[in-house]
Amino acid sequence: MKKSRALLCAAVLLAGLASAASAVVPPDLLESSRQLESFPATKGQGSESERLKRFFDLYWRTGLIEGPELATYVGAPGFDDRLSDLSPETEELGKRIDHQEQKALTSIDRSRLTPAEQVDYDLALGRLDEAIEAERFHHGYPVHQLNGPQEEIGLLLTSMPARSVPDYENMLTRLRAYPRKIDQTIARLEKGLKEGITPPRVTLRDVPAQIDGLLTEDPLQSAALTPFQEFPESIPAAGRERLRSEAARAFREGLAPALRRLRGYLVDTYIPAARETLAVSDLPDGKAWYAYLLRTSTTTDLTPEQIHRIGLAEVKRIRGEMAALIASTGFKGSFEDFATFLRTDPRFYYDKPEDLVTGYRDIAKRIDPELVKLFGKLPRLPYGVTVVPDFQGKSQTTGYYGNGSLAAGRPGWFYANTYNLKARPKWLMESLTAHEAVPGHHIQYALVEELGELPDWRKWDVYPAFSEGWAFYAETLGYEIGLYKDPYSRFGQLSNEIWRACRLVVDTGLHTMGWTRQQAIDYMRDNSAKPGHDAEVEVDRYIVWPAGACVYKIGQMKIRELRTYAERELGPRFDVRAFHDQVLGHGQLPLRLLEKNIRAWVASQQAAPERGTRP
Amino acid sequence: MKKPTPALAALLLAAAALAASTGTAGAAVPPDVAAYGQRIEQFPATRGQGSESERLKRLFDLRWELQMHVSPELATFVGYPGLNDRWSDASPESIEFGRRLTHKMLQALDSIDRSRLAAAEQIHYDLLHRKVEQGIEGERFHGEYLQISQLGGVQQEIPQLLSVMPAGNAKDYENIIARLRGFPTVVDQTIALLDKGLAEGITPPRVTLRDVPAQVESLLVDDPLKSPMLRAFQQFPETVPAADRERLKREASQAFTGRVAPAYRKLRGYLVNTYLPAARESIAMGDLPNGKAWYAYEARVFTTTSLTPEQIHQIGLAEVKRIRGEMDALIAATGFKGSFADFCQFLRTDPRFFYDKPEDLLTGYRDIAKRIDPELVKLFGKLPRLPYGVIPVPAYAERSQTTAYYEEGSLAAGRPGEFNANTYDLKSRPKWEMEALTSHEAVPGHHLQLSLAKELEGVPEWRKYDDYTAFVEGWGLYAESLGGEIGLYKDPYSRFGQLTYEVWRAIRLVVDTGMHTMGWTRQQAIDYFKANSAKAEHDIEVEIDRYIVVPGQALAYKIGELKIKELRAYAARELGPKFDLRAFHDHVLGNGSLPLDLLEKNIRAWVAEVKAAR
Repeated sequence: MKKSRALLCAAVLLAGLASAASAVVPPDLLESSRQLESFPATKGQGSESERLKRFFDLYWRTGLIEGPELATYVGAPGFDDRLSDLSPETEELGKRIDHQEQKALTSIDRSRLTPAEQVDYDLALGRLDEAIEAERFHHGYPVHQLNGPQEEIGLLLTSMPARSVPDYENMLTRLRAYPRKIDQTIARLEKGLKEGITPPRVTLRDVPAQIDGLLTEDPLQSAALTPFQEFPESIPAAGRERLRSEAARAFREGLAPALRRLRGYLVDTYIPAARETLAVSDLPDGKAWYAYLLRTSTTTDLTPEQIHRIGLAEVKRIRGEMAALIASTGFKGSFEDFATFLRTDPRFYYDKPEDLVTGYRDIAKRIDPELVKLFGKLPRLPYGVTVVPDFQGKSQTTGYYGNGSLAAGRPGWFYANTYNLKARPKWLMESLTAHEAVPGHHIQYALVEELGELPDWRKWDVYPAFSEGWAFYAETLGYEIGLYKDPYSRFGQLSNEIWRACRLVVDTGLHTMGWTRQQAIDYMRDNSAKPGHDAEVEVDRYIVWPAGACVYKIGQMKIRELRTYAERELGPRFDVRAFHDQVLGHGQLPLRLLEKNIRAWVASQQAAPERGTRP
Repeated sequence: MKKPTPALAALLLAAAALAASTGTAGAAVPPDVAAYGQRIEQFPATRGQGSESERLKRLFDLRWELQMHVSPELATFVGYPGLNDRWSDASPESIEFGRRLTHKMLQALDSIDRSRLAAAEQIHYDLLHRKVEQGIEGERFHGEYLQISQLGGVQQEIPQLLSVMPAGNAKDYENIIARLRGFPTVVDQTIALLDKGLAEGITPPRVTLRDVPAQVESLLVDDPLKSPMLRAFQQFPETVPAADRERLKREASQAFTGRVAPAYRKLRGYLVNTYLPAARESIAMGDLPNGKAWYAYEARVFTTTSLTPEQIHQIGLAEVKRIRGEMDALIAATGFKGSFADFCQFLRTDPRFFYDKPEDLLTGYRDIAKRIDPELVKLFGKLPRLPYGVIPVPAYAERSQTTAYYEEGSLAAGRPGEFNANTYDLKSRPKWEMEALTSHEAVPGHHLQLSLAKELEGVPEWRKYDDYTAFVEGWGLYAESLGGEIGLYKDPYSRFGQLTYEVWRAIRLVVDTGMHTMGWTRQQAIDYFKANSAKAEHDIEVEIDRYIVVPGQALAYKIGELKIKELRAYAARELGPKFDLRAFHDHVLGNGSLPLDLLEKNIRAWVAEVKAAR
């Protein structure tokens, strides 16, 4: 799973919603809106390609103004002292801008663009259509166990440039402004409550404790203020004390009281009144909302029923492989017995968090050199392995990836959860590293950032069916580089695979077929050896991110299908490095476009002369 | 330390000679090499055919093609296709041909009007010109006779090369078999050169050859398929049809048993019965014919400065004194009761500082490497695409090898960079040196610098592989000090480890010049080393023997590092708040490996440019 992406989506989603709160619409957003409004009238000023480029610049800049947090994550300078405005006025303006953008874009004559520009054009138009279609639903969950100010503030500050005093001043500015964002969030929660749109109550149970985790006695011990705990050498020692005390003051006088307000509101008002049902379809207009989410997240036209059936068939197939693997180890006992053995035998677990992290680093550094066998082009950005912050550990999955930016001086991070070591078996570590770090998320995201020719907005545009499909496919690449050395780690990989197949069954089950939370947890547990804690965290995730969990399996199956196709068509001329370069070389794409690209590439390879010897 | 790029000693000599040009081609010179040579000889006559920039480019291309054909091992190494089935030729004819070619190359270069080249081209031009002149100057010393030592030669480089050969399809396997079959010639040519050296009194000191017969012996395994040289035949990629695998395996085994093993046995016999007994007993390079001039030449080539051995000796003494001061202060800060020697003894012997299992040592290195990786973004604006891994030094070489070394990779050739860590004698691999060593060999040291150089765009191909030891190793040593800036040295022991590594390179200035020009004995050098650092005893001996067989090379580290630090201090002082460390490092590494004087010129120009910009 990929972390900051999800947060970004949330931020963007938030930027599109709103509620009451004292608000002034950002003046530069109004200016963007004016420019977009007059864009169709620029017809004839330069070529259509130039107009497209101008539109994209405007489109990207508008997006950064709406979501300055996004600007920080992508390393775009100039926004690090701002936060997105969640006021109803800005929300309204945001909707108007969607329509203005659609009109501006369609004022460009698509037929006069280059093929690459036509792809960019189509993708942007698809995005705008989606945004406009989503207006009727109004369903965001501003706060749940994986999202909200309590999750964002620490991550946001640690993602900011921290090389100079002005960088730290930006952090202070954001810290001081953050209480307003929290109050705007409360207003949104309130509005959702009135309309009967809340996340299921069960997913909110850990949130007050998450907030408590930030409210330390000593402000500097709070995860919200991490950058102020240790300064880089480039910050003069003389200035550090002042920065530290300013941060502590902002925390004590603004942030902490605001977090306490949020906590109070959640505990006294919101959580008791939150709904007890689980399904998105139980919300107003919910069935249509779920179908929309499924369609836009899988980038296919598959219906909930079709996805459910694909899931059942895959679960059955993978169960067969698992049974065969168990038989090959000579283990005496049932699937459940084997799963219990894997879940409980001490040999499979670390005792110390630090050893777990070292174990991940060892695996990561074993994979790194093998990447040259799988790719012709690799990213410049490095990545590291670090621990999931304490305040998130309990609600977080086993690991996730946070993307970096060479421009912003931030590496990619594979976050490993060291909470409850009995839920982190060694036999899952290889496949998890392959997924979150390399050849999974890190490779894919870092390569996109470095694609010089893509418009800026496309470098950061996310299709989870592509990105998660890739990461999951990357797990299976482990077999090709000798990553899975024993039957346990192979079983771990299959566990992950069946896990993703189960998601198709469970997500559609929960949101359209009346499955209960327990039913979903049981189904997951019955079909995998994963420790119990994981199943609960996971199901709660599906509950708050409807359709999100279906993208993994659907995306992976498509990439695998395309590889099989290319292998068959190209025979001995198939080069796996070139194939992967092709899959990742054009940024994230909806699956149908990926398929079109790969088929075109295969055809061009077939037409090309035999390669190899030099003239 | 970085492994010599083109792996083979034979090919190193060819590469040095190769800067060059033809005359009447000898009978044994490979025809395509002779043809390229002829074109270089005729190059001056191309005056007026295109611009001077175009001519320079043509000459570079020509030289690159020639270089590949002279050294097919280098071609394998850089991923240049089509030559993987042959070895470089070290026949007397080819060696003589190479010498003549060097002079022709100089004439070809001189036929180009430098003043009409672009600024960047002038740099390439100057570098090659200097290199060719140095090659000519060095001809009189006959380095080609020094084919084998405990650190290199056919007993190490051939297995290494075979293990990195492409093995992606059946043709690749045929190439490996062809090389196995051609191996006896390589050994015969090696023996011929050793024999000539013996006749002229040019051999390595006998003491350094003591492990070599055993190194050869270790390659003579009973089951050919267990040999590291035939590693590719143990597991085939799916692209090799199952039907072919048995045949390929059989042919490789036969080539090993029928050609490779007898050749190695012959080499071993020659070494034990003839070469070693007659090898010289003195250790100083100054004792060889022309030896004093030879050492002064090596010192200049390796440091890319005009410093004399005497000056270098003095710099070494001053640096040892300065760093020893820092070490003493650090010991005092830990509250340790005892002398410097006691502290070093504690670090060399306390079990807490050592691993028990080789695998744990490697995991330890991987952990450190993966801790450094993400920090690199704080030090560089541009990083290489090539990844690197951590692997053990191969068993056949570990006894005589240093603690670790780096082997270059190539994205084009599908080969990663490799940090090779020595897992032999774990009691000589203390944990407190691991951070400094990883910084040096992997990142931000060799891997980063060499991979960036290789990924340069818009430079002639040869520049990507053109190394100046003072730059490469100066950077490696400087990189150790960067560990401090990214919080790598977490306790006083690893910090002391870093100082131990620094003083070690300062010691080299003293003992290398001492042994080769001032009559220092091997034991004297060992004692001086031991008295000033906490390095393990086994390491110290391996080190001293290395300085003995590669004179002057060890000077490059400290001299290069001092220059980079000096330039950083200069830039920081001149630019004040405008100084950006990432940009500074990008500029140091952004033009590939350079002689130190050119590096200095570049950095000063950059500083002036930043100052001029508002």
